[in-house]
Amino acid sequence: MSNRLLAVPLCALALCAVTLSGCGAARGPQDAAVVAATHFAAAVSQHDGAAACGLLGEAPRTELEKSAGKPCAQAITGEDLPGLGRIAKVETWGEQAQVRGSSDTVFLSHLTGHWLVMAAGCTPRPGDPYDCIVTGG
Amino acid sequence: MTATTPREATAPAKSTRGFLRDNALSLFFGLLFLLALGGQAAAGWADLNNRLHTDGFPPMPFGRYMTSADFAVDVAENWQSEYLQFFLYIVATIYLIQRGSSESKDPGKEGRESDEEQLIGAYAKPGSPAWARIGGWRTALYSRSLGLVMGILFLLSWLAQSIAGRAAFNADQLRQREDPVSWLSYVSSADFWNRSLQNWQSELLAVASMAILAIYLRERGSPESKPVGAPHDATGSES
Repeated sequence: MSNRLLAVPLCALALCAVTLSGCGAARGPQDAAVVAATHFAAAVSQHDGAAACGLLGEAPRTELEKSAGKPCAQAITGEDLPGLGRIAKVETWGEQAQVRGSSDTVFLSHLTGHWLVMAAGCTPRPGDPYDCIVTGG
Repeated sequence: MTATTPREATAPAKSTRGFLRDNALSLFFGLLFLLALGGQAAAGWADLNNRLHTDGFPPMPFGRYMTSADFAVDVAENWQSEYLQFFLYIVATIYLIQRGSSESKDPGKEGRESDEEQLIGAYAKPGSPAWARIGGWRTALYSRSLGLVMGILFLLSWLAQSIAGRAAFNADQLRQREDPVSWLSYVSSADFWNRSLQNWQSELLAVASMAILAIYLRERGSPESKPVGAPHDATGSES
């Protein structure tokens, strides 16, 4: 196989890798993740449990219901979740996103065509995963 | 309408057979490459979905996996090591010999060799490539083109591994509720060097094994082997 023929798939792979990297973190997914995180925080602060649970992923919803012993819509409003505050940084990698606000950090996943909250009320722990009030486990 | 003679009818068939025979080695490995890549895609997809399930995430569709950083990094980390292997082998065998190995050139011929031995400049033959005959920078560049291209392909695929690897690593970090890392942090991380070195060691072992085993073992009919009756101490063209 000639070197030219080899270079074609390799350059395609390099381009693909660049697209998949942070360079490819387009504003669209980031904006959509911020909207989902903001709506979730607003629903919780307004005690709209149904709306908040509609933006929650399956794993954290199940975990929340299990630990509280109540339906999600009742349990979520009982959690001491801080508001997001001013958005400081947003990162999207593949199907995952992190929205950092001035008072909370929220982790989201792009599932079934929508960004859903997988963890909220998260505080950083150096060298360890964030400690989150609502999480999938 | 014109009648087709038997000779005309069989000419394309002969031409196809000729092409297949003349390129059998490339076609064989090209086909195996595609089959193995397809198999890797299927196995990698299943493996990722197992991990997603364990972490409480739904499975990723196959089409999305094929364009994901997870798939790209797994492909690139193997590509870079193969190109590194060939680059090192091409360059190292210029200066280093292995007595008795069919993979080595003759003892005493270490180095770039003379223009006469390399058929360049005034020593070029009628069928020699134009850049071998012309002299100057073009002949100098062409004289190093194989190693150069292999080296560039290695660097490109290693760069692709670092970029796709960072993207896959950061997605994993977010799934585990940890912060994403910068490219510089990633290329100094255990994940990046574990992926790189585990491939390098296997390629280097394979090359060393081939250089040594080719001294004592034979494969009748293979150009990668000395003739079956060649002495163990016969090196390169001596065999």
